[in-house]
Amino acid sequence: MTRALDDVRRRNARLPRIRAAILIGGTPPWVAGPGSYLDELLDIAGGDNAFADLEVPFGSISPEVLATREIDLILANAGTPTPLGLSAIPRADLPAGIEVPGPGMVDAARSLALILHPEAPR
Amino acid sequence: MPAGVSPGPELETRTLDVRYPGSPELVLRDVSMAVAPGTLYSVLGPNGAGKSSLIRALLGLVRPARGEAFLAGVPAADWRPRERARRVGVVPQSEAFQFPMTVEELVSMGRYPYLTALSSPTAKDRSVVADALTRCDAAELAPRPVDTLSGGELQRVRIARALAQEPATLILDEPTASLDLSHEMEIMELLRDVVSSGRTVLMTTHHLDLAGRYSDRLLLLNRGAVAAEGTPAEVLNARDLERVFGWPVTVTDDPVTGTPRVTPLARER
Amino acid sequence: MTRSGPAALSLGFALVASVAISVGMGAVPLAPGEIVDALRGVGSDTARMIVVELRLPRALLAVLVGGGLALAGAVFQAMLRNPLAEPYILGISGGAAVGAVSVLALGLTTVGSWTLPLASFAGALGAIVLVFGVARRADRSMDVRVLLLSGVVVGAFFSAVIALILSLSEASVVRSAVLWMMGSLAAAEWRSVLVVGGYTLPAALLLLGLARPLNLLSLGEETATVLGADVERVKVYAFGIASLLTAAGVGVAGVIGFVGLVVPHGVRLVTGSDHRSLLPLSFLAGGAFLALADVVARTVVAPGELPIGVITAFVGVPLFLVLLRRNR
Repeated sequence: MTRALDDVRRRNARLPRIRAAILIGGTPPWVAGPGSYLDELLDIAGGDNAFADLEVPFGSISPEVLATREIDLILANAGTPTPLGLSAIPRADLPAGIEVPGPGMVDAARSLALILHPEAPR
Repeated sequence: MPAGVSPGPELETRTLDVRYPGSPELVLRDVSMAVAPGTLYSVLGPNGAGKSSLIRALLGLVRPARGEAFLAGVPAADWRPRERARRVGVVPQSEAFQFPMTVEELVSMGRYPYLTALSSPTAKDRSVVADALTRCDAAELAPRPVDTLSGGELQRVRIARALAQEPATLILDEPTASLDLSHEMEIMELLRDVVSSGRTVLMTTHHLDLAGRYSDRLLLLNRGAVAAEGTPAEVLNARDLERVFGWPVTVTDDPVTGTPRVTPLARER
Repeated sequence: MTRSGPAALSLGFALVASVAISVGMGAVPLAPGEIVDALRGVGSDTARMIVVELRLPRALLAVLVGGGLALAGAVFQAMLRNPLAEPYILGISGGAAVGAVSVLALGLTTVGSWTLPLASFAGALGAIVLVFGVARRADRSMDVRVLLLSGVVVGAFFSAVIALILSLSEASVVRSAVLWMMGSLAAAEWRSVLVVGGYTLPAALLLLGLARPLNLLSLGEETATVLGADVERVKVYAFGIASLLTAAGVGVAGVIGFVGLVVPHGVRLVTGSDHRSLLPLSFLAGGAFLALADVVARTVVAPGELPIGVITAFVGVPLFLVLLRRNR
């Protein structure tokens, strides 16, 4: 499995990095920070976490910080409303079941990569 | 306030039956009584005889199962709370003081039936409150917190609140219960004074001698029914009292006041 | 009454100040000049976004919700003649939570951002209908003890329903539900301010109109009746309006504890328990208190936020103890 993940990482390494915020719902919105499983998955799939400076793996985030952060793409759980001030930023739903680490992880990384770089040749 | 302008009785019941919901027992049975305006009327009887129920019926707070109760000639149940509170002031047996308040605040509540949601008390309201306090010899208590009053002081203050309603009629449920001799006398003198100003007073009491001495008429209730009704001399007789209270008594004339004096006897073994 | 004039002035000032502080402070530092420019409609888009679209509506919503909860709490304490009464005592929070958790579990939040507040408001209304229905069935005159008991029982039932839904839900739903139950004003926007304001202010005015009968009711129902209050009608209005007020707050901000319990007591300690001053002052104090609590909630762990219920308890308890000490 590690080999398969390395494979995904290599393929996306040369593509331009996408600054993405991972919203996992809640009021105030919660985002994935460094050291989280989702953060690592984003890295493998060719993205940079817009909240790499967060001090916790998961945490709430102030709506005004969210509104002023430079973000290329919002990755959110289906059903999470897009917060105020972010409607101009493209948004994609996180693949279902992505939050649970396990054998589906390789598929999750692949589908995340597809969301980040839909135009890249596979 | 024109007290007792209606020609008929101020308080009246006709063949009144009262039953509380969910209970098969009648608490009042075939009670007919009438209180003339400007008189002091006392209701006597053992605990549970129906004295408080009679008050509730006269105020329209319980619906008669049969017969009717009238306040100022109008069926008691037809009075709206606000109009009723202008006609009759009531001093209930007890009340709870949930939050701290002063005597003046408590007595000012007697003005409620004259105020609307947005109006604030006028100079007249304040002077009525002050008069009521003076009348009850409680003017100096005005700034005191209610929970610091003695039993006698509190009772005078509650009567002042009822008087602040400027009612034609005052109804008091055991106003002298748990008061000592001097405070009891103060209340009785005060009620006599209220009657002499033209108002009607109905009270319940366990104090037979004082009731006989200060009342114009008495009603003796026994298990919800009228045992005797009339002047103190008519009602306070040993035969009726023994039957109602289940205790031997003798009735003599008090050498000082000349009114009936009830002396309970030791029970024969 | 003598102390309520100055108290009203200082609380009014505190309310304005708390809104100003709310607009001035946040996770993103802004200079006073930037804030003033943003309020005048000039300046950078970012500052305008933060000040006009995020901070200002959030401050106003805090005032409306905090004021409404404190006012409802004062009314519940008077009606139930119980100093421990608070706005959620009749199971309203449980009903609202069932509504919110259902929407989260069914994934209905995709439909629109209004589904969650609307569902929790509907749940709160359902709780009110249920609690009053049960109480009314047991006792036609709406004995407050029966009502209290009915609220506790219905609340316990809702807790079981919530536990059932959550135990069948996936982790992300559980997290969202728990966060919702701790309360937050982060969802504030102008639309919610207008809806809640258009609803809270008339309700508050109606409750203020009940101040005199509430004074009488503190002496007991029998005394209130003979003093001229229409006790049955007052009960229906006071419980109904205070419950609806609570439902609006819980719908838009989740369950925010403590404000409705302690603010009325704090006001009572300072100005006495005459409801003519207690009710309006509770609204002012509750509004200012919640606005300030929200400032703390969104700045102490910036860029994160704390649930506001944590702040209301942490700030409110010491504040209340100081008041209690000073007045003994």
